[in-house]
Amino acid sequence: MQHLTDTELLDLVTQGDEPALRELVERHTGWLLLRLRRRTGDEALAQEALHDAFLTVWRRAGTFRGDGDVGAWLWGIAIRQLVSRLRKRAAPVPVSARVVSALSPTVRSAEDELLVAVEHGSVGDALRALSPELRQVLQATVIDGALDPRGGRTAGDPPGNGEESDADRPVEVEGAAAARRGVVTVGATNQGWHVDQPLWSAYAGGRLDAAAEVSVEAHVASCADCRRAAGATVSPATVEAVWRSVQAEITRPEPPRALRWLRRAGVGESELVLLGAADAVTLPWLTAIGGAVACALVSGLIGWRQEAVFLGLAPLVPMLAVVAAFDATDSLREVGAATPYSKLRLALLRTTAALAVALPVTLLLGLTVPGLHAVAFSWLVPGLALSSGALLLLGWLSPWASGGVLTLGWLTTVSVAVGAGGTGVVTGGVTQALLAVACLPLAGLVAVRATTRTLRGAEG
Amino acid sequence: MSTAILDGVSKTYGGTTALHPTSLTLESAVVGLLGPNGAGKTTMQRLLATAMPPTTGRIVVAGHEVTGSHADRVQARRRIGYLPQEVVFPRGMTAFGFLDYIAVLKEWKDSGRRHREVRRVLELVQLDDSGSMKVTKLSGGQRRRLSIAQALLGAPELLILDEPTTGLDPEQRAALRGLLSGLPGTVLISTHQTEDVSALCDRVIVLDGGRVRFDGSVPDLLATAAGRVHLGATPTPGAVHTWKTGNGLIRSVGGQPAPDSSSVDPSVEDAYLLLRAEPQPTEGVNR
Repeated sequence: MQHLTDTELLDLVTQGDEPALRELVERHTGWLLLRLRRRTGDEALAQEALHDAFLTVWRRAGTFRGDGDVGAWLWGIAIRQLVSRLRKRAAPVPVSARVVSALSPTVRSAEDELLVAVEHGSVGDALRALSPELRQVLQATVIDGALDPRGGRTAGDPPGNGEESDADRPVEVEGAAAARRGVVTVGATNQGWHVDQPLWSAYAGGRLDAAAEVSVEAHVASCADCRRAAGATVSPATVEAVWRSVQAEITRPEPPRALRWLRRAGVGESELVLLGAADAVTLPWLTAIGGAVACALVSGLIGWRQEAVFLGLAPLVPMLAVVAAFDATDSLREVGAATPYSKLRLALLRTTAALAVALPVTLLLGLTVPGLHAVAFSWLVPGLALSSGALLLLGWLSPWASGGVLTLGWLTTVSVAVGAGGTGVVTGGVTQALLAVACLPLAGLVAVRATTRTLRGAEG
Repeated sequence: MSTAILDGVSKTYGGTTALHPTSLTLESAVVGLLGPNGAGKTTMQRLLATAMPPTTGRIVVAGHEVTGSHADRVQARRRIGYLPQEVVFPRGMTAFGFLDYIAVLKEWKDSGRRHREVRRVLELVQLDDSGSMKVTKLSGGQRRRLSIAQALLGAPELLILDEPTTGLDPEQRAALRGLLSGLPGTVLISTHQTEDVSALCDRVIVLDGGRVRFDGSVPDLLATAAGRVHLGATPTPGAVHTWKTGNGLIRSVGGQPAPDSSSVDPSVEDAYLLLRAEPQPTEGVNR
């Protein structure tokens, strides 16, 4: 990784390459952290902003347009994250009480505080000593990516091609008491001017005068060598801590969007992991919704024995949703077999999640299709019986084989029954009662099997 | 205290006996299971992992009888790490997400501690920089190491690994040996790689046709082949296996040594081949 350029690393990061991000963190943490510290004076806040910045890089590396220096782009992100953090804070950054009191509380935003810190601090004093043109360039550079996401470039500058823009170049501080006295030669040109280790140390310690500080910041946005030199002023442990915090965040699985409302509803985090793994809830929900829509469409559009068709199809929807829920992680059945998690609990969790969508959606669509009101509820008990049957068959068959067997069996039964006596055979009280009663021993068998032997589809 | 006990355990599928009644005690050590395909290695490991019940006999893991009550089986499962022969990953999972899922199944409820444990095992298998990668983007060797990582979650007392070195390159195999040799508790590895056994295992069990053919230390296994492996210009008559080596000489395993041949130190593979060539016992309980 070390031989790759920043742009190449960013390309890899867009593909989800974690080592590439780590390399970027290791390359850029030093100088970014130093600059952030100079902005806030709060170490924790600076590290948090940096953490957020690298997270943003991980998630939005593709937004880098490749028309400028990656370092400047990173600084733009970092300073924005700092602003964002400051917004969330109750207390403002420590700035001169005199200046703060001059600002109305109603207009004192995080950006204001940064501007105040720069413009009314010692840096600002030095800026005012410069020519208006140079001051404009410097201000745009120093106030940084807060104004321009490319960072380190004034709004009117054309997109760069990797070369330094005026704003990126170190400043020629001719005739001004702006250079760091004793370190930067007054009147030095930008040619060959670099921020060495002692200068970084002086910058980190706040021992530079204002113009020298501005020069350092403007220069490092585009000078990889100087950025590297900054790394030595930050301990490896700090860099590692930043990386660990970023890594912890990027590797932490986030539940699918569909599950986040369950979290808000109080469903436990462990259960969300189980439901969210490998589309174990997305797939059954899509199956349920797709199945219910298909069922309603076929029943509504067909002009022949509409109710019988609905009764034949609707009970399959919850059963197939349950099957889909088990299929998602079926390949891990053997691994899960040796784990202590309750197989019955897992089966119930998945079944409940699948039925929670399948039943209301099918019911709603059944009620909205004209001509089905008479059987809009009659499919519920057969649907539950088929779902229980699927859970039992999962002990021996693969999920979709179980679904196939039950689908075939149910359609055959309904065809024969309806052919013999119409839909009343299925919707009649006796049939419904028998199916309801059948659910109980089926559920009992599922429970016994889950606690005594291995249950296919429930990882053991 | 023994980690696992098999007492007269057998497994029959339909009319086929995969494992004849077998009695074994596993102590804290790295134990190698050798045997040809269909010897019963995977069956024995699945039985110990509680992935299926035995036809006869009793299994005890860490003091809990897995063939007894459901509660005992759950207790035993809390102490077992199991790597099946093949792990097929569901689509869409990241490496970290996969381990997180298995960790929940292993009852790591607190997410902070669970995530730390996931990162720990990712580091153990040198995948700490690949946690966010989709499993589908990992190489075969990385996937195998990820499979091993899930077995390591929670530092189990009994670690059952079914052919863990399959798909690993020599460096990764060496790293895995280093990892496994440093683990506390009992590690039961089935493998076709005899060099893994000789390099790693304190004890070796050779299974053949569902029966234990050998149970002892690696030096004991090597001793069974002492003086029975020769190197010479011609193959020894009656040798079980012969092949031409890189220096042009013929290595003969078993048989009567030819006058021009000289005896050489046997390898675990030589001893295994000789053992396989001997007639199998057909009755009695494996001990």
